[in-house]
Amino acid sequence: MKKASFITASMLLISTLTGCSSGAVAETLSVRGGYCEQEVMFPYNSYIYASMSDFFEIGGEPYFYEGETEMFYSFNNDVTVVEREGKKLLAGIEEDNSTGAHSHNGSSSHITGVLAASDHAVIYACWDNERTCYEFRTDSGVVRRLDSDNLMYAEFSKDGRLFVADKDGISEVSLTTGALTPVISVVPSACMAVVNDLLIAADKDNTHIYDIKEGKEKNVPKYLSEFFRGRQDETSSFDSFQLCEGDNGSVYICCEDGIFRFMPDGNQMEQIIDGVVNTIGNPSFHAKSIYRCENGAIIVSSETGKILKYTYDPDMVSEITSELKIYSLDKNDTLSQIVGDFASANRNIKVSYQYGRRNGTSYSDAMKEFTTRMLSGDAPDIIMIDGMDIQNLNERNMLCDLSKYQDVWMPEEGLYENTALWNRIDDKIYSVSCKFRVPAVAADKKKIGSIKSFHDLAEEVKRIREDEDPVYSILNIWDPEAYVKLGMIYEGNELMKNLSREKLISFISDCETIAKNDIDRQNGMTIGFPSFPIIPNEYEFTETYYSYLIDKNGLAAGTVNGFDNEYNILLSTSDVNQSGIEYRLGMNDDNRSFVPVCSLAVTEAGKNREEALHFLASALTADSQKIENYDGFPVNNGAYDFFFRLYRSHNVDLEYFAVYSRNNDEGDFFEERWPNTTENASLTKYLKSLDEPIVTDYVSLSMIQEAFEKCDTGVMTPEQAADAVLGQLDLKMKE
Amino acid sequence: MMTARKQNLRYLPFLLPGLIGVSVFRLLPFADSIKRSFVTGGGRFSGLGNYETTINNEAFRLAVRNTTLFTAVCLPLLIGISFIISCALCRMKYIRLIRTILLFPLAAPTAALVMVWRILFSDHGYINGIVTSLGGGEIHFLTSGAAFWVLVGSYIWKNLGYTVILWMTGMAGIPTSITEAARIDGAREMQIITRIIMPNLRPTLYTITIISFLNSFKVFREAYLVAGAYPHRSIYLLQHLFNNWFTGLDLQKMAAASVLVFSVILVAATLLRKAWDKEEI
Repeated sequence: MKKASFITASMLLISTLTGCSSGAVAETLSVRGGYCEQEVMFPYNSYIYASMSDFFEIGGEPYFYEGETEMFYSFNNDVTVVEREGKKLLAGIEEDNSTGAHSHNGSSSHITGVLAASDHAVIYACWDNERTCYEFRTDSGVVRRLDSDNLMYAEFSKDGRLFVADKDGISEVSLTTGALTPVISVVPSACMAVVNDLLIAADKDNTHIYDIKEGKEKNVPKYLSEFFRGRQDETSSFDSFQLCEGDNGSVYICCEDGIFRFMPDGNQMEQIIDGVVNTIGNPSFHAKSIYRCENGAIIVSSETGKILKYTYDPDMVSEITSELKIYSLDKNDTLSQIVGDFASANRNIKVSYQYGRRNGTSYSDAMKEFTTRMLSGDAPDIIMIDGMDIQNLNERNMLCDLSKYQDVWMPEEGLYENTALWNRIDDKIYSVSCKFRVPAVAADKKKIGSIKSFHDLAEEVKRIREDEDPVYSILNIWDPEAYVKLGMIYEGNELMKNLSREKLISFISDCETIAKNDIDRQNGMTIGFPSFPIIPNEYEFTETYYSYLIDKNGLAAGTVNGFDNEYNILLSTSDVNQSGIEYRLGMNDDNRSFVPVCSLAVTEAGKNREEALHFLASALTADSQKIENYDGFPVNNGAYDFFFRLYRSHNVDLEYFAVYSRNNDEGDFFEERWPNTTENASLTKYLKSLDEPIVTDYVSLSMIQEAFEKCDTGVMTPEQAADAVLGQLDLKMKE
Repeated sequence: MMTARKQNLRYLPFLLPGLIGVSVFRLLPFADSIKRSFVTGGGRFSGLGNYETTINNEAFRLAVRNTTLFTAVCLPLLIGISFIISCALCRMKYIRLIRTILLFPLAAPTAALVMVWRILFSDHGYINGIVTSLGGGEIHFLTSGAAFWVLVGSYIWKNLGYTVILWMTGMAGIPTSITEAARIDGAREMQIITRIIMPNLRPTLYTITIISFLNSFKVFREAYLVAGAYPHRSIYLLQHLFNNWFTGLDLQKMAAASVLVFSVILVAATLLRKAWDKEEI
């Protein structure tokens, strides 16, 4: 009896620890009231309104100025449609009835953008004597030019006072004389706004609140400064936060995490709109401005000209019927985009996206956390396997065979199967990639034929440094670790397939050759320049390529990462190519390699397979694939049709790119165009022929990087470094 | 009159918190490991398959070999050296101060120790600086077979003071009347140590052996921080393997290996205990 009781008790205790629940549906949670998202219609013919101004309030109504059409716009009564504003806005700035453009009486300059406007004044940027300058104009017709040539922000207060920020700090502008009076000596890199008589500004480390009525700085509540400090995205080139006046004297802040509300004298921050389940949280949205309308609706504009309206519906019922857990090792913009789209389209599903390597967490710790989750019955439903040991995941049966569910996730338009379904073993599909990058190389047309391997590339870098010694980083690589990553893109598969001491020595020596010769030793890396937007160093190709269109001895290496600002630039540069630089997709003519990006897998241990498959389907739709985050070409056939149609439909809205010499001030412009029919056919044929995925697991990569670092700093010879790596890889294989 | 059973039950409330803690945080996870060691990744019963795979695994064998060698070298060295030092120290003045100093290595944070090691033993470190300035060649302390001896040195340095204190505590328990009587009878110091002190320190030896043995596993922290998850072959220990298997989701092999290692440690501890009990009788 005693024995039986003991066994029963033990089994019960063990079952709580090891038991697995198969329940797919979480407990239904009902929430009443919430904000509904709606896109504001823009019924005018324009492709990208990248030059849209912030919102500004005139006569209690929201307005914005759009630089491409040079017009002011307002909204219809219920703020659902953008309307071109025909009425006189200010004396001296009027719409031309025939063209709609705004003339600018009283000044010889040409308006390029409006920074801010109020009932009685407007401040704008203008082009005069081949430089940008800033002027303001009052309704009495006074025009003044500001003594500043690089304004970051301009804001009017409710009572019409004007505050501007430039590299010297924040100043108040006298609307009578145009003189600047310094207010706070902070350069507001994160945000600046005037809300409810308070000027709120934040830089990387500190937040400042200036009471413009009392003329002095106020204490900043700790929660507010921590809010700004904790959410700044250092990798983004855009402003991190947008502020506006909220309800009942509150302030609204919009950032990637959502829209937040706080009372200036309060002690906490309240989230009113969640970025995870709304479009504002998508990495490609980049909120530009926010405004709260009189009826309580909130409008948010993006850097690309999209305007969203959020209306509070007290009767809206959100029923959370299930939960979908998504995990990736590193934060990934494509995945964030897909998560945001899926969550906003499926409000009944609680979507939680976690990534392992946050706040400096190491790979090992992230993987341990992941393993713990799997063991404790909290396995994610979807994992992005980029950087993980994929072979190990396949062997451990951690991933679900997706071939059985193709009818659920396969898009109607079909996929580029070689690149999307590369992780296929014996007809079983373990993951599907959402994007892929294509390795490329560019060099002088006389030289490019001879560059067929990573070793050739290293030798060419060495030759240029020895013969020409340019005052810049030749490959425009800033991060020494990227040399190894770059090498792995070109040679990784060959290197790891038949790993030998000789191959490893040669590889490390080539990395060392590039590292020694790439950077101008006298000037360091200071002449290099980062890409816009930030693309990891090893993938940055196009920007380096076109920076050489004027200079000789150009050399670029990396990957082509999609159409916009990538492949279409490569196509568009032939007419300004003075240097004779040529590019080639693939390291050599026979090369058919590609880098899979955002490879999604459904886990065997996940509890919500049905929604996981729907999520995968959502990730692969043509609409989702059209969005570019500079992370690769799409895998959906339909998305290609969209990009190829752009050549025909948007040739009137061309983007212009400036090319400057890296040696002197010479420069030129070229027009960005999209591929034509012949180029489409050629590109499609090439992309469809790619069949060699470049997949490097983080552990192997970091072993080689560590050894190379020792070699680069002179601690080890390439031979010793190769031996160290071989020893480590040997242990790893034996495990 | 209270029965013996009732008397025993009176102690139960005091034992219960500890018992619950050990059950929840030690016994149950270990029971789960035992269960996992008999199933595949998909949850199917695999018999002794995981054990067979683990025993045939080359990395496991290497780790077992290195861990055994490390323990076999470190334990006698630590016990011997600490005993000699404690014999010398027990007669010294300022014994309290000495005890405090001896505990310093144990109190030093591992991360700080690792930094000192790197300064001393890295390829461009302090010791190599001296060696090369004297005309010698650079020694790769951390990336060659020498790493094993660096690890042995670290273990002994860290645990020496603590072990010396344990020996000294044991020695303090031996009545001075016995040693003084032996001296009066003409016994030499060596004879006092071998005939009186050492036999009286058997319980202390048992405690020190068990504690030092368990502490030998803790050296992994230093090894990991200095050389990472894949160090030189000579210092690749069982904990490296477990750590890497855990990171790589290789839970079945890890479960089987942990059951095997536990069994070996249990058998070793039981045998040691029995041997000691025998001598006591």
